[in-house]
Amino acid sequence: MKKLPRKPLISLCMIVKNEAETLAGCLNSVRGVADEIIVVDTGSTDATPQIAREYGARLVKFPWNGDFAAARNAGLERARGAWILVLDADEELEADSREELLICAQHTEYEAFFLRIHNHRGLSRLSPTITVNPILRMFRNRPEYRFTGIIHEQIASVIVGTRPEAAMHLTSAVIHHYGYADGVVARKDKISRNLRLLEEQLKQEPGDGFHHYNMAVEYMRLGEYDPALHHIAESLKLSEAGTSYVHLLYKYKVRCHLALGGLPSALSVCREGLTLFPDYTDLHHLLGVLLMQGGAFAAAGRSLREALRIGASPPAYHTEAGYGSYLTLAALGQLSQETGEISDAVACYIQAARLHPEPWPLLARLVRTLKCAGREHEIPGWLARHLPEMWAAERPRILELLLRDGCFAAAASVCRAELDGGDGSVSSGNIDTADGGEDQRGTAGADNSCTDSSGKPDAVIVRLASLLQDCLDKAEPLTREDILALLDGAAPDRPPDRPSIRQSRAWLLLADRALAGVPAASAYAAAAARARLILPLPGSGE
Amino acid sequence: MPTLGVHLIVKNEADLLRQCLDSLAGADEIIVVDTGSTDNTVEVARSYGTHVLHFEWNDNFSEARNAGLARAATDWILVLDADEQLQTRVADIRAILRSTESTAFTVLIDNWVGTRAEDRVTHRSVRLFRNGLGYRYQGIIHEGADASIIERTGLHSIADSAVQIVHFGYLPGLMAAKNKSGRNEELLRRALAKDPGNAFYSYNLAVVCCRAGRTDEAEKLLRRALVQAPAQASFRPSMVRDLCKIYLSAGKLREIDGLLVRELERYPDYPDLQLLQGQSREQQGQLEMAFQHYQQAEALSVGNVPQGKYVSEAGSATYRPLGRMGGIAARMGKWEEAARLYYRALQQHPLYLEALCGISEAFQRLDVPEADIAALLQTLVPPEQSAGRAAIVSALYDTGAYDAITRLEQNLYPLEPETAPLFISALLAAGKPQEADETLERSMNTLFTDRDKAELPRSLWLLQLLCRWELAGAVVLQEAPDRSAWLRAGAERLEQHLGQQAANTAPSAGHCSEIASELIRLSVKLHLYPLASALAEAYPACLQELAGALYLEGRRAGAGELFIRLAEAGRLQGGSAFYLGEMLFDKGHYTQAADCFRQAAETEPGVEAARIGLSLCLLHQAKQELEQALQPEHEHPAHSPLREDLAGIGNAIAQLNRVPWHTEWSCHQLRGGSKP
Repeated sequence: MKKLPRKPLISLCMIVKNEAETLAGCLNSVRGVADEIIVVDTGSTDATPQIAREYGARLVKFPWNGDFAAARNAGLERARGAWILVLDADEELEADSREELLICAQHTEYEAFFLRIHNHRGLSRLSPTITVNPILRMFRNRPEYRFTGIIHEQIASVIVGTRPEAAMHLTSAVIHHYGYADGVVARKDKISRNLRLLEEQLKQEPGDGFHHYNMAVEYMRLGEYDPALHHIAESLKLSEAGTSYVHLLYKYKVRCHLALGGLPSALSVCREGLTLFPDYTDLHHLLGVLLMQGGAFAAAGRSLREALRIGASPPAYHTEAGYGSYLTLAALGQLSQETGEISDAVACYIQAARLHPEPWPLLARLVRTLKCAGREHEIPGWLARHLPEMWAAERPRILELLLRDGCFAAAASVCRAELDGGDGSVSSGNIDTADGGEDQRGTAGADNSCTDSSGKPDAVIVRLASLLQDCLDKAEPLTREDILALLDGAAPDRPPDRPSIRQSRAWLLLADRALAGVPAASAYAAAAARARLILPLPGSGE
Repeated sequence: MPTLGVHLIVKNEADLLRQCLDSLAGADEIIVVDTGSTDNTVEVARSYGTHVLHFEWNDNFSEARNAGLARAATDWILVLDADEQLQTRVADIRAILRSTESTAFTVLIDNWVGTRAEDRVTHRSVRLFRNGLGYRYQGIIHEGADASIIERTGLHSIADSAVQIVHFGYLPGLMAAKNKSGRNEELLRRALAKDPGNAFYSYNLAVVCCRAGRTDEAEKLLRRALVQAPAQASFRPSMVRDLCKIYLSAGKLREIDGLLVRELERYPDYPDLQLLQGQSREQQGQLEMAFQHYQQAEALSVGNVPQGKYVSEAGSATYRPLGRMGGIAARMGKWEEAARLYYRALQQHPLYLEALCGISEAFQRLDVPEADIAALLQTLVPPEQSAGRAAIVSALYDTGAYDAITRLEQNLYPLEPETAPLFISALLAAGKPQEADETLERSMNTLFTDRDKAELPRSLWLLQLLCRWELAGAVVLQEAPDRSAWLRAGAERLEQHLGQQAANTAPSAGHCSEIASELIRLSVKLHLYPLASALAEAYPACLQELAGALYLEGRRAGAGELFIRLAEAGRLQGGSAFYLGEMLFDKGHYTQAADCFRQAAETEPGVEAARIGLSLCLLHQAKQELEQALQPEHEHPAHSPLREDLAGIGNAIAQLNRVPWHTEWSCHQLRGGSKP
């Protein structure tokens, strides 16, 4: 372990107000990294100050005066370390990144470091990351480096302004930021307050591209895309080519045009952005999706594959989690589906499901794809072969998914296999699986298996199997009552859905069957097939 | 000045040869190779001072052609067929040849496939080349000089020229008369047997099969040929087009999409392919995507695509996509945009009936008075020509602007075979049976000689009966106790007259005869509702006909009563069940509507729209249940999964509604339907 140097190396500087819930987590995460913690409190009425003190922070009381930069700078004034690290209370430093930051701090040839902010949807590390944004969060402690801007306080431009030759480094150190989804749907009054403050600043510094950028962001949050586009254009005009957020302006511009229904403009902005940032995965992904919407499927395929080839965007770029990875794979799956290459589509969905933190929607998509292609019988085989862990551990949930999407034949074959072998393999005739002889459920899957501890088939499965067989043997079409009984058979132990949700799903499945009954030679067949594909997937709203 | 010789090979072409040779005035030499005519082809050729050679037919087109080429004494050779006509003056061709580096040229061939202006297909072909360089024809059929030219002097020696030729050989009348297809098919099959991997022969055989209606075989041949053909083959894009057309007519839309994903990459500047891709998307209800493809087709009209680069239908980069785009705008209810698009289409092709009807409907929707619409049509289309007059009257008739037709200036619109039935119908619909009858008499006397009377259009006979009935109407239709018998007698006489009566199918009260239902439909179409009702009374079996006709004419209230009467009598089936389903669906009675659609789908498998209707009923019920689940609303966040599902169902409903499954009424039908 490192010995604490006499002069602090890294000073953590924060501003807080009523952050008792999250502050401890944040301060825990920088243990061993920050030699000094300075917390500027702008008027907490909860336990925030006590918590800060428990972690040995120096507390600075700073009455809120509507100016974020001033509050931040009050902290900087007191910092003695060689480096300033900036965090917010709803952020945590990734444990694996501590070492990297300490190494960075040895490299005094740099003036500043960018860290990667992972914006999480929920309040825990496990919740999915929505976007990843490189932001300047560690810089040399120099008196001339002070924040500017009453909101969206900035330091990068100041550093570049005072030392144009300043070297900066993009690190792979990660900061987790929680509750991003809540922040995105921020309250309207907060947005309009921000807009007012920004207009104020723009009056003082009309030539500042960053202010325009921030204006655009606020307008996008309001769903007002015309003014957003105006500010994006201004920002692009005013910002120099190397400015860190220019690539993001292109991505936002694409989004605005798309929201306004301007597919052709969105396409050309994508292409324009890619000439400047040819390695920006997000733009390749977006271009692919846009081309697909426009029916240019071959070109769409090329763009999406390029996004996959690059993988996640290089560190300098703001990026959405999953671009260049599972989201791109899912889009490619959709593309293959559009062009009738069903097996390719399924393969994409499987690969995406392996990488996606939330694989179930992709599984539902896969089930739907095979069902609509008339290849329902292949579903168990695909799952068993390519997603063996899930197949072994999550059989009841898979069964439920099949039932809820109306894949009764596939569900029956899963039940049969369960009853015949009880070992997780699907052995019925038309299903080709990898040899599933070995039982992988010894570990995690044991609790979820469909057999009880004695190894006997679960009564639920027995009942469901016979129910399914009765329905499949029926000569006349299934009624709504039949379908409801099957849906209820899926998970009898679970608290039942609200009656109307259950009924709605039954109507949907009936509609799906009616659409499947449109003769293939009919002029409406293609539209019916398309409608079947876009019906709500099971599991989302239930 | 370079000399130009024209070369033909002929066999029994006496009828067409004159107009061909007439177009060649000024040629330095005309060489006609006769392969065994038994008519006076040779005499005709000689009378034009041509040089006639005899060549014994040996099932090889190239050898016959080359026999002619060997005798050429001119600097340049132009190759023509007897069923073609040169459109460019020989002097102008010489001017091209005087200052050129090229040694061969393509010409633009305009194939007429029907009588309308849109029935044209253009393509380019190498037909003009230098003599003395050893260029020779190759191939026993669909022979060409291209290969020989490329081999001897390279591809760069061929340039495109502005020379134009019209080809009449594909006109349906000529095709039937000459039966060249039969002969060609035999040659092609023989050639393919020798050379099964030859994609060019497969392609040409597919074309022959297609013309003979054997599309399954054509499809197989084309799919194989597409794999076999070299990527650069000049005929490859045409194969893609032909295969797509086969797919389109067979409703194989997924196949079109799958094929064009790749092929539009290769031939993005082929407007016909963009058009076909658009049509496929449109049929699938993907209107925006379809619109984009039409836009791309239309963008090619101003681009740098040389005319004739591809085998292309007339208007495929101009009025066809514009007309289609107008149709999509109309489907979306954007009537101003629709009118603008139709207008642009008409600027390219004023007689384009689809666009004329479309613009007329669009202006009605925009509340433009009928008289103004008629005036607009007459500024768009020159009424000086008979075809123009027919187009104007048809478009007005199609959109139900009957009054406007009756007000057209009589001296500008003489009675003509194409328009007379429309004028008479319009007068009847406008409540002027007397004038209708007079016009009818005049038409019968002026348009048809006694000898022609037998050929008098069926429509005129039907209209005559309607006129008589309407004129007698006030007295007979409302008061006479035996009016049914009277109507039946009239219908019977007509049927006998039309010579369609077989002894055992005499129209009777218990049987809805074809003529009775035709009369009912026509009466409703012309708004002669009392007559239509009386007819249905005379032929009770035709009640379904009447109900359906009223419904389609927008008289929904009246139709609804009849549907319910039929349902109560257990006589509701097929189309009527579907219509009643629509009415219930439109009112939101999804359970009952679903029953009707189910019944329609079961009793008449052809009513495929009933299955879409049924699906929509079920989706609406799913939606209603989900809306229930979302009550009270404030408890559910704006982005909850339930709301997403609800939006998803709404999306599926919207998509299905984009295919034209539901009866669509024109503007005048919608307005008429709300009148008592």
